[in-house]
Amino acid sequence: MKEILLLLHPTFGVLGIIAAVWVIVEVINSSQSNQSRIRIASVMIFILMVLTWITGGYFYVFYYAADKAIILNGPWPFAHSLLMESKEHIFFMTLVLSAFLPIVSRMKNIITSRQTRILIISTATLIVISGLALEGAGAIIAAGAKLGLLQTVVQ
Amino acid sequence: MEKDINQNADNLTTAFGISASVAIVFNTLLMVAKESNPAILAWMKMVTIHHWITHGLLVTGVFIILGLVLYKTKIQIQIMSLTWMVTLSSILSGLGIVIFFLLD
Repeated sequence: MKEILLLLHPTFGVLGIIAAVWVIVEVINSSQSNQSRIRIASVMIFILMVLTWITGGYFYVFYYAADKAIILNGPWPFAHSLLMESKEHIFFMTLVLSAFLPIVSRMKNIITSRQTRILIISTATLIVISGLALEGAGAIIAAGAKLGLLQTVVQ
Repeated sequence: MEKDINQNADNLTTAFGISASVAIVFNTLLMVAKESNPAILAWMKMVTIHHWITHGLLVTGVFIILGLVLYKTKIQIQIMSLTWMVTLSSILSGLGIVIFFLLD
């Protein structure tokens, strides 16, 4: 269960980031033919980020305490004290932006209004940047746990 | 034909754009409050099984409830103002979280 959650959490997150890039590309090339794709991709981002929240949250609440102890006693304690602490809070920002994006994307003037396109692209870009930062932080946290375990084995 | 001058966002986008900005800032302020005040952290742990669950519920609650309240008020705001509001609140709040834990 724990390992499956650890695989699903970043997978949903990456798929959400890819969907946000998809939205940016569709909006840059906005036309009558791709309006429904913009809306579908925006809703997909929200669904994927909720799934990221549920899988990551379940792991964090029920399993992370052991990893936290290993990380804090290992050579990279900052993986928890800085990165995990930041990650668990910045994620809510990404989640809120993901919930806001489908609301903007349902606006009817995407083709005619440059300002609407900028709003959608800005929101999607913030999702991409924060999402990539969270994925990177997750990788370093995993490395922190590995190094902590290695240190325990060596000792 | 591009229409670029001082466009207002529609009512729903305005309401939830403002509520998104407020929820994002609230997220950072709540994080600072609970990390700085053990009583708040204890209360958040008591409400649900974990402070992080309470934190998430409060942030999403602010986003949804404030959005619905603002939607009823039919507030008007220009699209570019909304864009700046969402972008700046996200960047500053995100940096605020990282800086807090860097200094902690």
